[in-house]
Amino acid sequence: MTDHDDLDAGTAAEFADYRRAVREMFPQPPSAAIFSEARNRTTRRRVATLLAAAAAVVAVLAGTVMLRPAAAPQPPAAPSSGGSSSAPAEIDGYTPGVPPAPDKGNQVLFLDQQTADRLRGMTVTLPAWQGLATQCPAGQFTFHAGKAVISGAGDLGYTTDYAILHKGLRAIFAELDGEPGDEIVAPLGCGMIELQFRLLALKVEPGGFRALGYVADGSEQVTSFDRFYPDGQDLVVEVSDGGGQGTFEQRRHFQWRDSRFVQVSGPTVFPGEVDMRSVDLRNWSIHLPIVPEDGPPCGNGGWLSFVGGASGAWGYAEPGISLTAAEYFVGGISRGFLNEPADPYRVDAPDVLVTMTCRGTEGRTDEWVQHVSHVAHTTTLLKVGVDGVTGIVSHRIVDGLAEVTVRTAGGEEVRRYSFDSYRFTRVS
Amino acid sequence: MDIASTRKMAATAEADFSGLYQARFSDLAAQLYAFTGDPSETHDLVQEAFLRAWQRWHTVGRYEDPVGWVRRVAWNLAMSRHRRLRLIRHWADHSQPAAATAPTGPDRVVLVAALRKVPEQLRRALVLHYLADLSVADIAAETAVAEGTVKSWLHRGRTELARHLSDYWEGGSR
Repeated sequence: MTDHDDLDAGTAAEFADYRRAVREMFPQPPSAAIFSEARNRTTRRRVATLLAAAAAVVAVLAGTVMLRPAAAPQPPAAPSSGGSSSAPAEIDGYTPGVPPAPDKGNQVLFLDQQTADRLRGMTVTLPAWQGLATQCPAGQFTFHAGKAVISGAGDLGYTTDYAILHKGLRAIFAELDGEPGDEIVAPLGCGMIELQFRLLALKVEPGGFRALGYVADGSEQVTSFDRFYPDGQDLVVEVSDGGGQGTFEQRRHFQWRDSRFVQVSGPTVFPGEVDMRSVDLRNWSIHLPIVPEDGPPCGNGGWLSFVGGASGAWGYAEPGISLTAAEYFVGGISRGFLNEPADPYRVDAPDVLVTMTCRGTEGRTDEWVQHVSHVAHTTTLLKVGVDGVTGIVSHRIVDGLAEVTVRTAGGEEVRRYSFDSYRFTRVS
Repeated sequence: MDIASTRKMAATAEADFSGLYQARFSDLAAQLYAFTGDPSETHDLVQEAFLRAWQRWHTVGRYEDPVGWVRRVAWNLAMSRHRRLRLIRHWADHSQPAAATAPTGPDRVVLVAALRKVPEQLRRALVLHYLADLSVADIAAETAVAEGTVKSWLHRGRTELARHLSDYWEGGSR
């Protein structure tokens, strides 16, 4: 027996042990729950479609144009003939020179080190998490090094904890209640092995902190969020439904009223399945992969929710390194069907190419063409500064290939790329 | 078609789907948990994948391997969510010292903890091969890469996993 065989057998044995042990962790809920949820979603989609149709009628009657059709939930995409089909490409000329509107989300006041240290050792009375009151209960908790134990180690050998400023997550100062004194908004984690997060608002008081409440309390389908920042009297939170085919991020506005946070503007629900052919990416969201070789801030990756084609992202929270934030802009967009290996599960998968620009706070600018799949996966097609590219002129999808007109030292040239669902390969 | 026939067809579809759901939910969850390391997320992913299958059952139910469709959707969802989590993990890598002690607990937790240190593509290949029982050719078809790439992923994945498991055992946590 070779070393290779030993390794294979050893690995198989580990997984066999795991398979026997872990199945009991996941008893299936009754299938009736699936049938019920399917009926509910069908009903919601019909209502949303009717509302969108009604809004369109009102807009037409009022002589106005609906600027954000993608904000309403979309019906499922109509199946096409297959992944190798080629739809007419929509070409949207590249529009460089995005106005440098200041991004409020990148002008926040982060906690100073002293306040952050106090927060990591605070004693505070927390409200229970809506919908998770048993796992994440109300009560007084004392944090040590950012963690407060909720319950002791169970079968899995881990404690259930509350966690503040977990693993470099940022917290900000904000004026929320119109009364003297600072408030702090910070992500609070709760859980055992993997934490879930809610956004906790705290009042800074002499000698400690007082919890005001959770900004997004769990009743809004919010499973995660990225930036949060004050905008006038509002606290804007960039929230996400957490993933899946309808994955995207929204900006929702909250205000502190009558001792609780209420949403005052922005979308209140997440759409279900999304047809990327009809999505307005300038008012949508994109998840950029981390590109370590690009360095921060433009290589940081993460979710970006765009409004009017502009967005921003916070940089790292590395100790001793000042924050480097970035602003992002959506340029030209083209759509169509890229030829991909035959795949019966991608029959309704339109592809989108978008020109992205990133500007760091220190003045550095990056520009590249991004592919966005029907499940919002993103892959970088090409980048200015690589392979002799000095600028991006336009792009489109034609005959199943991505075609990009670029500027080089020798003038403009057209480059074509194939796509295998993971990476682009230049073919001409 | 009369009402009675329609109802009979609907009942048959529900029975077929329920059979698949009950037979395969736990297996699929075990696969996804090995990849995500998050039990509640895994539960949601698998349930969502089955829900989408039921919404398209008139088509999916006719496939030779409907569970393959469910698995593919669940993995798509998992990959999408996983990419979102990378940012926080990336922050953690840059801002926190490495864990001083190895995780403790049952073997399943140690395996999951070790798998999470294996790069995503390699981990996916390991789980598809050893838990979903897919052949190299099947994984290549499912992930749209050459078979040689899958073999390479599996080889590197086994080596990485063995190294991380060895670290845990030598840490005295078993």
